[in-house]
Amino acid sequence: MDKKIFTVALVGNPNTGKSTVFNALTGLKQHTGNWTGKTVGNAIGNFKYKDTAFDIVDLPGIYSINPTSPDEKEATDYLKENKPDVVVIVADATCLERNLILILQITELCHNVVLCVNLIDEAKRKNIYIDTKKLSYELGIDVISTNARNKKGLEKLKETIYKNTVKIFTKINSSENKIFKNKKDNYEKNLNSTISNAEKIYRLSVKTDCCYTCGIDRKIDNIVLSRKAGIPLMLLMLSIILWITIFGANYPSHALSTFFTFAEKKLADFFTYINMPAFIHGIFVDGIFRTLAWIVAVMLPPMAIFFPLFTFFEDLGLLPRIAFNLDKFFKNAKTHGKQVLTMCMGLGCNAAGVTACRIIDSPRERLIAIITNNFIPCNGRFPGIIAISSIFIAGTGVLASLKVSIVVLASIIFAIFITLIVSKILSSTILKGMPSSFILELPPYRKPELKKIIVRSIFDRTLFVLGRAVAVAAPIGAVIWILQNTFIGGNSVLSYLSDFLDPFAHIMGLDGVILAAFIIGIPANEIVIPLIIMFYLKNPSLVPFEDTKELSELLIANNWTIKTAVCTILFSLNHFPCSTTLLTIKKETGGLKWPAITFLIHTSVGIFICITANLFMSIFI
Amino acid sequence: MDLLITLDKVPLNVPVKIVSIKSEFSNKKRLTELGFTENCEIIPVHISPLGDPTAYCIRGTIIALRKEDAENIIIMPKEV
Repeated sequence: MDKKIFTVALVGNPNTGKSTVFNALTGLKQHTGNWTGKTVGNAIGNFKYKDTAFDIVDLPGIYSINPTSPDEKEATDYLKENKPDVVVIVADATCLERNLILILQITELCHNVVLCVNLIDEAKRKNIYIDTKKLSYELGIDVISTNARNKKGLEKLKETIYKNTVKIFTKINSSENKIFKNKKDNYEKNLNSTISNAEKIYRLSVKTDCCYTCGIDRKIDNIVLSRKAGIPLMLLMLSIILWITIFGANYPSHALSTFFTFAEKKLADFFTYINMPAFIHGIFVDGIFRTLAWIVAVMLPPMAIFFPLFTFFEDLGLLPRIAFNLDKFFKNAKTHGKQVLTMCMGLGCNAAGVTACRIIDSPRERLIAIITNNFIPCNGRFPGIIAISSIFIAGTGVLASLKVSIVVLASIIFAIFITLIVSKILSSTILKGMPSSFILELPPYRKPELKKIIVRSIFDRTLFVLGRAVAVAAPIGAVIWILQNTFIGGNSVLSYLSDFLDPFAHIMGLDGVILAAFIIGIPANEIVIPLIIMFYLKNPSLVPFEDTKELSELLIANNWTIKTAVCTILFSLNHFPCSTTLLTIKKETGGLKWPAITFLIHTSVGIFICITANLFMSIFI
Repeated sequence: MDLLITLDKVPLNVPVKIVSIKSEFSNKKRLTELGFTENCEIIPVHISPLGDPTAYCIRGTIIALRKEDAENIIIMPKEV
């Protein structure tokens, strides 16, 4: 009997701190965000209490047991099909009234329910007093109040979960009938009686003199959501994040590349020492190792800075407010305001952005968000945009890094603009339809926990994205080396490719080398610039550039002008998604149709924009 | 005098009471689950910088709705 592992499911409204409770119970650093639908996919962990093992599943936030969106369906399907031994409902003590609707629904659906009233300290600060005994009596289930951030009430919660598993054995047979008794009942009729029940229980067990209109959140929102300051503040925030990322990443990137150059030399010495054949040496040292070293040195520092900053604003509760401020644009494009949240995620990684589209209820609007996500430049594309703009646009001087930030910011605004236009075109062509209803909850502001943000964003995002990039970069490193070192009639295979592409690339304001680099760089956008350098130098392997001055001389020697720079930046913003993103789209849409359409849309938009920009600049510059 | 007006017409910070929701089933269901029910008090608290949507305070939570959705919610003034 004691060998059995019990399953515990965590459910609750979005933004109640389910993931924080999950982390506190398991010690696993699972990501928690302060916006609806953060837990995309189920996180699983485990803990032990008194020699009993528990598997614990963190389900996506839901508003009801009758799902509306894909991530809600995931949660309710789990409850109905997997029948966890104990269901822990995590509720937000600061808005218990609304939470009670779901609580009541779940107590009807499942047996062995425990209510965890979380954020109890925040409620106290807001003068909300909850009588947990009364609540427990009215609901007929165990109620524990916790503050998961400082682990308050956690032991009590574990003990209660444990006690509830003991109950299973005494009433396992009688409970079967109770589950799903509501399945065929009239949902709407039930819902209304559930809500009046919730109101009654709320009145009986909660005392408060607090309201949103008199609290601090209102004062902050009066600025953040205001007509005058709202949008400028968001742009300022974005600029600060980007500026810190760009400026801060320079030094660690440099240090890493110095270290890798040293390591590569040692590795090369070792290969020479053991008399390794030249082609194996080439593939492993000049191909795989150098490509990997490049990607780590270029990607790691900006991501290690960007993701914690992004997570900080996310946990604070600002992202849904960005969606609120910008929704009108999306309404005009006949799409959903939540698309902006998936775009923010796309700034970090487009594959992650595509997955995040599950928070959008309507299938039509979700598909549009998925298709257009790649228009938002991800972290992998920033280093290239930054390098090119610092050479050709920013120049040198004290204001250089500021100018680079402005170029990057302008790129993002341009990307948002393109996203909206393409969304609108899709809405009136292949994905016709009217905008569905827009219902967005603005969660209370929460104080982010710095230490946890850093740990979480490094492990869950930075290392995750880096790991995936490294996984594709290693084989491509070998392939590039082979292509560059396989000669037919005195020329490498790569040079045939770039010669072939050259005439068309010139119409786009690029050259054959740049276009070939984008095509070969499909597994990872990060290697596009190093590929270009490698081709120009006719070097057999990737060349890390030591400083922008060297790079600048190399590019100018290969006939780069401001036109080439602008067109390359534009094509970097608008081109086919990387292979990881395409695979994610296939997974999310269940077929090859939408990844293919996405590929075609992005490629043709990129070609169109580059040709137009090139023509325009040829006339006026 | 007809006292029934729709939610989108309510000025900021004026508390009103919900009379009924005219939306089609799936929207109505979602709104009801969020606590939009008959006789429930609701206060418009913020308008987006671009004029739409509007954020409402209901049952201690803040929910933003577009004008089109607010038009389907019939309200009446809260009795003084």
